[in-house]
Amino acid sequence: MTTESPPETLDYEALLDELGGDRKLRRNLLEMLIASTTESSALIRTAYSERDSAALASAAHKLRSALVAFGAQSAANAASRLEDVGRRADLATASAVLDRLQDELARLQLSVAHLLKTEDVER
Amino acid sequence: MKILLAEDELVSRTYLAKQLERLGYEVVVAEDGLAAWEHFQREPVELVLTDIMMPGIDGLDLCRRVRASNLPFHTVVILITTLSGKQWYLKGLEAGADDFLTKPATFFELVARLSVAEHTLHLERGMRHLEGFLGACPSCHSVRRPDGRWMPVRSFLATSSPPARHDQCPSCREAKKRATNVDQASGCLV
Repeated sequence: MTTESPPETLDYEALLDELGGDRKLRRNLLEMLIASTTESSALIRTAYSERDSAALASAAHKLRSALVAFGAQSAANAASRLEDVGRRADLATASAVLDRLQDELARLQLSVAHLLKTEDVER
Repeated sequence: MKILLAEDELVSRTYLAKQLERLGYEVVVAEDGLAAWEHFQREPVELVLTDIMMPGIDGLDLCRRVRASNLPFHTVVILITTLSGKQWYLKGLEAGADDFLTKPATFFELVARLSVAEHTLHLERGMRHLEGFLGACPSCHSVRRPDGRWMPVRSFLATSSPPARHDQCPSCREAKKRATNVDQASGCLV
């Protein structure tokens, strides 16, 4: 049985090139990215539930910083929109933006997990 | 060369640190602006790469503090940020930053900016060297050599390595030109 590949949200080959072909480093960084996005995501949800727009903007900025370093543009754009929402203290529109960000992060995590699993099989 | 890297986001910090290490730099990582500033006070470095938006002391504030520390050497400060827009460039320049990198900074962008930074530092070291040696005494016409000793300007010009360039100041050049014109007008060979 074959599992269908999730849509790629990162250019893994470009990332590997950037890292001088170091697969182990890429793997470590991707694992860190997933852990970091999970943590930021929790911070964002807490900030939103507490209606703390400054904390929301700060957590979204931090998340964007991690995503953009890896070229995860789609998720980074969603984080950027949420950061703007937080800065404008426009919590009325935050819910839709937050949903979009969660979708993007879920896609990213699925895609990274698939890559790491594929690498495990190839080892 | 040692680089002080200030970035509060773990993944970006690790990513950048690894890239800098690949380039042969010794990297000191600071997880926020305060940690970076404390390190800089203990051990000043010639190159600081800092995120702008950090809790506590942000990158702009860190840059201002570095500039205000009046060290005997220049520290190149490169701001690295996801923030775009001209206002951040202006704020960075006002804070005394030397350069900017926008995330994601590719490996080649890092190479390029750090090459410029090293070139700037090289020129600055040369300038400091010259400043040390351009001291001149108007009374005895001696100059101060790079090692701090004084010697008569004629001896210095004869022995300096690389040789000092003999030139005339604008006033002497003008005086010589006038004298030449007068001599030519009177039909004399100069």
